[in-house]
Amino acid sequence: PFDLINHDITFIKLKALMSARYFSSKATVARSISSKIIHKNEIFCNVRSKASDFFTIPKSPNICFRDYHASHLLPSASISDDKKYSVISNDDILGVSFNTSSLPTSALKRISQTHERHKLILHKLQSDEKNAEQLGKELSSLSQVASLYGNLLSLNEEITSLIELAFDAAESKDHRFAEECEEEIAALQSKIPSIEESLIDSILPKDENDAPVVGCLIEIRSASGGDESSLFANTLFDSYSRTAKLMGFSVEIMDLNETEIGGVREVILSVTSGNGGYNSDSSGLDIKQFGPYGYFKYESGVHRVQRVPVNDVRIQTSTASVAVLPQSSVNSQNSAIPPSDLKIEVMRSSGAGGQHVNTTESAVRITHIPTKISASIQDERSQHKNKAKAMKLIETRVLAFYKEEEDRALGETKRGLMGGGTRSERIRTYNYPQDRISDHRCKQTMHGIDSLLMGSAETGLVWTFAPHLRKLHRDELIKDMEGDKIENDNDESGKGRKKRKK
Amino acid sequence: LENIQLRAPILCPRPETEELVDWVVQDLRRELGRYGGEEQPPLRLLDVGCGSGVIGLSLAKEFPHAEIVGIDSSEIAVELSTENAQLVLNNKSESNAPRYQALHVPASHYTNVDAHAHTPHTSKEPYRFGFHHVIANPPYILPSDMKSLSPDVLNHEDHNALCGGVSADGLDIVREIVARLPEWTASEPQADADADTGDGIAADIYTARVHANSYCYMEVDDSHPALIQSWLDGTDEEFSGVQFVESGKDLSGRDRFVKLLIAHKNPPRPA
Repeated sequence: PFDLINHDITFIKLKALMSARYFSSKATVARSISSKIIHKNEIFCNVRSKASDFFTIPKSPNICFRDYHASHLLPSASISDDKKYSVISNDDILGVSFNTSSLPTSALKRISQTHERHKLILHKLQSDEKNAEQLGKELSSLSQVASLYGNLLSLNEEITSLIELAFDAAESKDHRFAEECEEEIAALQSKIPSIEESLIDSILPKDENDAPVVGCLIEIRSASGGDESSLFANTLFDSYSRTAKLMGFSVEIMDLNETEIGGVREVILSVTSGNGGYNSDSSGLDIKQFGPYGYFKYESGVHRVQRVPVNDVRIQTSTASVAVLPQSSVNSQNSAIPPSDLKIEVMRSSGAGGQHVNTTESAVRITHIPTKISASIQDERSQHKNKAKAMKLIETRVLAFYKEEEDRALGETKRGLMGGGTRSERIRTYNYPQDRISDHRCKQTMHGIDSLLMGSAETGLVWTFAPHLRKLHRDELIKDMEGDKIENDNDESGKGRKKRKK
Repeated sequence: LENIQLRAPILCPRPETEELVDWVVQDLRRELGRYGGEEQPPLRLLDVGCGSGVIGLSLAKEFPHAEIVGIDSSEIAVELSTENAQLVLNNKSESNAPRYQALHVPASHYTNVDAHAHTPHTSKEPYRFGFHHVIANPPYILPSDMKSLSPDVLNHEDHNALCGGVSADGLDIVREIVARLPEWTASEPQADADADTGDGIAADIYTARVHANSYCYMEVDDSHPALIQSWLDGTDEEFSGVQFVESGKDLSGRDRFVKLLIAHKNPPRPA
């Protein structure tokens, strides 16, 4: 047995026990340490930054996150690299709290706060609080996190009572019973990761534009590479519209600018969720929960193609750019943009107009005066329709512009996928000679360009990369949350946190 | 509207006419919005000089409970707009009466009053009016402008559908329309009687409707809004009852549209 108190321990590195094999060998050591910590509730160590001794300690309900006394770190303290513990100080007591799970500390903190708040509201509602309705709403928004966390806690309790049983069994030399307990513990512990995943998901900020009702505008433009680029833009156009239709979305071409050889200089597609449901039997990421924007959003960026053009023998590299913008479902009657900010011009012949003229040149250009963003459509023979399309384009572009400004003003320089990617970022390379598509963000490479481009909604290009990109995004969000926590702890006010939560 | 049939010499719909319909739709939506949408009051609209029927049919599509009558002096127009109604609407309301009806009669003759005797006709069926609003894209081109029209227009479209009459200002047809507006928008006596037996809600809505204003929306030549305004503001006795409300510009920035108010001469119905 190791007598902790009498040692000047400079560093304790704690590893959360996830597997049963640590048990039997170190059980005795662990137990004595843990009992010291629990019962004496006294000091534990001075923490410095160099590791010197290691102990492994089993999970125990008595040393768990619930005992965390929120406070500030001591100046001499530091957090271990794997963030599995933090040093707390509560006036006289300097203690160590163990993170009993693999959840990042900041996440766990937020989750437990949510859980507390949930309990508080429940309590308040029972005592007939005045703001019942508002509290009720808050309650339902917190309920998912609270119930998941409740599950986790009760699971942990079950495990730890089994641990104690196992301890007792080991001490009384009933090894078979101890083994049975350990098996049971392992079984229970295997349930934990999925609960923790769901917990993390429940507290990460969600993109409200992922919802099924949110449509999108997809703008595809040929960039560098002349003819090759426009042909490739056409390929992407075909692929995306095909995929969208297979997903049951409605695709409308807002504007199309073609070249003589069948390429596309620019095309703007409006993709909205249709009435047809999409039946998916795939497990994993549920494709049904995403609307057009959620489905296509990671396609924004520059797509680079390397192939031998039809009239040449050398490989040529060209690019096409794709932009995916969320479309508000606001109809044009209730436009969010005041009409006085818009300048609407009609390109028509000079002369008296009206009944005097019957040629239908009905191109419409709308300019948003404050931002100078403009959109012009001349596709339809109906001026009315062209105007409606141009309005939709302007709204989408202007709203996206303002959102970007807003984000910038809040000082949020979103990196990576969180920021939706900058439009000039090269995101994918399509290499025809090697028949591969590589996504530079998630660093994945897939083979079979044609089958990817022409694939179904699930096997096609977009959905093949989507799970990887979503995971990358999620990891970024988690890291971001961690970063927040450190800032938060260093900064007395919590303002930075509040602004980011939307 | 899609799939509308067009036929020479009926005029091709112009973009400005789309704007006219837009204006009417916005106003009507605002007005009907007051009723909350459950009990939609009856809505009768008149399209003067309906041509291919696009104005009336666009409105019929926007307001499914509306009844539209289109009149035109050209028989071909009446045929064409009736065909288009079939294509676009399936032309049936709940009571199986056609929602869109086209009549072959010029504006000047669309009246139940004998022009000379000022007494109701006895020889033929009286027309049913009771329109809530009147919309028109009448011939409005000044006679002096007719010869400078482009060949596209001159060679393929009906001159009678273009030229605004013999007067130099091109407002003859407009004047005929304005003269008839009070008669067209007067509430119907029969409808009064019907409302008697209806339930309380319908009667209230009807009463409200009678008091609501009737408007006339027209597309005209860019010289006309100013002329019409000074004409009507001068309260000519013959045209009493019609007031100038406002004019509107088209997307090219030209004065193109007028909106007129017809003050009802009927006394309010007792509640």
